[in-house]
Amino acid sequence: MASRRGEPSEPYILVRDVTYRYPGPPGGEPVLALDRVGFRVYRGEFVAVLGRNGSGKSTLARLLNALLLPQEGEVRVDGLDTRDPANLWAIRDRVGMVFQNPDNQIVAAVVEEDVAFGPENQGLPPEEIRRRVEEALAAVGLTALRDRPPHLLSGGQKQRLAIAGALALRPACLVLDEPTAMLDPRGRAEVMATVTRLREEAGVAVVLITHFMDEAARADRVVVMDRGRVVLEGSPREIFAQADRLRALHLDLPPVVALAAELRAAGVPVPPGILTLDELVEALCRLS
Amino acid sequence: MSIELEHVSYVYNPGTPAQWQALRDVSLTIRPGEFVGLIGATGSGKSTLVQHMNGLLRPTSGRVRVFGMDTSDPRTDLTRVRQRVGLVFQYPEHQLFAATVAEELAYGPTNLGLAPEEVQRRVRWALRAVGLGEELLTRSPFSLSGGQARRVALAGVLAMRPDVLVLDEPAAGLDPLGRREILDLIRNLHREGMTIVLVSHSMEDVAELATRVVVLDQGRVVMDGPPRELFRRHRELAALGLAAPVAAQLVDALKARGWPVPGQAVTIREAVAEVTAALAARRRERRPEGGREGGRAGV
Repeated sequence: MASRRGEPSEPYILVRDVTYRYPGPPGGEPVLALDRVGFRVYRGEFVAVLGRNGSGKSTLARLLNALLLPQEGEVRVDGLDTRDPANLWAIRDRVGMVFQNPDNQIVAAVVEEDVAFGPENQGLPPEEIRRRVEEALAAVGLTALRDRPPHLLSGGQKQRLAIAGALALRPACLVLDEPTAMLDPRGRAEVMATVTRLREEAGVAVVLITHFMDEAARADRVVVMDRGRVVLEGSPREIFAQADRLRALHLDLPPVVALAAELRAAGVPVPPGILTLDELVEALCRLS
Repeated sequence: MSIELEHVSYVYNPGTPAQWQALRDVSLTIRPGEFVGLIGATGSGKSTLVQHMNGLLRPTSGRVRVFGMDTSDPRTDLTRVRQRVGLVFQYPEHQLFAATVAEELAYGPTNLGLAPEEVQRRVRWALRAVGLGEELLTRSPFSLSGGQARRVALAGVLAMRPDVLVLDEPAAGLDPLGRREILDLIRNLHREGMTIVLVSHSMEDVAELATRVVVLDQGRVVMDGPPRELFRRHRELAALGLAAPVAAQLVDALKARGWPVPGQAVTIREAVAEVTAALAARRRERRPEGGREGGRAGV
């Protein structure tokens, strides 16, 4: 087991043929949430998971750190089988989770205490706890607000605090389940900037579940789920080139991609694969 | 006038350490038939403001009149106010409570004291208005999908037959299709004559739908005007934690690069029109001069 760990070609998280059912209504059939799903996350990569409501995204997310266990198939994190109870805390140290509602994830009365909560529970020495709190606060840009009561933070700040709390356990992977759904545009931008920086500076792998197509456009890889299965997988450019397919899956194009597509439909020869506003402006300016 | 706010201020927990002034001297009139997009960063006072529109909150100072009824006047029947102005909260499906969809939708009209036949008529109308089938009437609201439950909650408000519908982030948390469906529904209600106030973080949605945009910042109204004028003020919006729609950002960037575009677009359709017109003008310009270069940079 140990010899397999850390080899770069191995996925850090491996989800193989996983099936998961929730109990159905009384007397009814169980609800199939995941249907033989395969999924992998490599060290340091940024994966976005898209899919309509009920497609299985959140169930998949909860399997990645053993909040749920596969009923069929297996999930391995850094080689550790999530079904083995002995691995539970080792897995939770490796894979952190951040959820949609920031108010449900904050436990302490002061920002830095909230960040210290995880490392304290691990029984780390005070010196180490302090170091990790510093590091995590700096990583999300909340150092200046360390003495604030969390309820006085904005939505974006609260989500960054939730991310800091997860980071204080020094995970190799962070799973974020619609972390920006309840935020205003500034809060969304703050969280996305933090996520991008984590991956670039700390090499933390990120799995981002989102309904915002423009957020997915920033990922290394996009995975689209539908009815409990992975139905599309590729780079954002590959995925967002398939407008009709996405629409059929109840998804959309990021606003910039939609704008580029409409320009193309109106006869303006913008090249395919444009993802950002800057790319679109450059492409238009090159036209003549 | 549908709703008139005059110099409205609102203070939460006055006289305590938790005192917080959420609205500062807000004067605003919502006229019949308008589609008002209400935008602002978290904490700017949007939710406090909309709760004044149907008398859920009453101003600490100033006056709110809803179809002439002063919400601070003890003689005002607030049930009448709430019948005229329906308020759909954020995540309204969290407030569903009845055993069946039919009971859920009948609750409001029954409380208005309407005859049972009228209640039933309204239940069916509201269900149709939100695009759901009558087979759902006997279902438990808790067995519905997220998008369906959201629409049932909206139908519960519509069953009151309000003149004004106020919605606080009605598409939050829905997937893109659910989002499109709920926004199309609101657009249809507006076309049929309902006055709409839409609180949204999506500038794209507001640009597509609203006839007027009101921007709140720190409890004050800081901008108020047609989307076209407002979304051109990118820098001001950015300073308020907001962003202009991508279409507006594109034509602005092109203009900055010397393109002969008016830079007025706020929707995708308008941006496409500006770009194609500029390219066509450029082609016309070139042809008689035999393709001589050196005109405007970039075009």
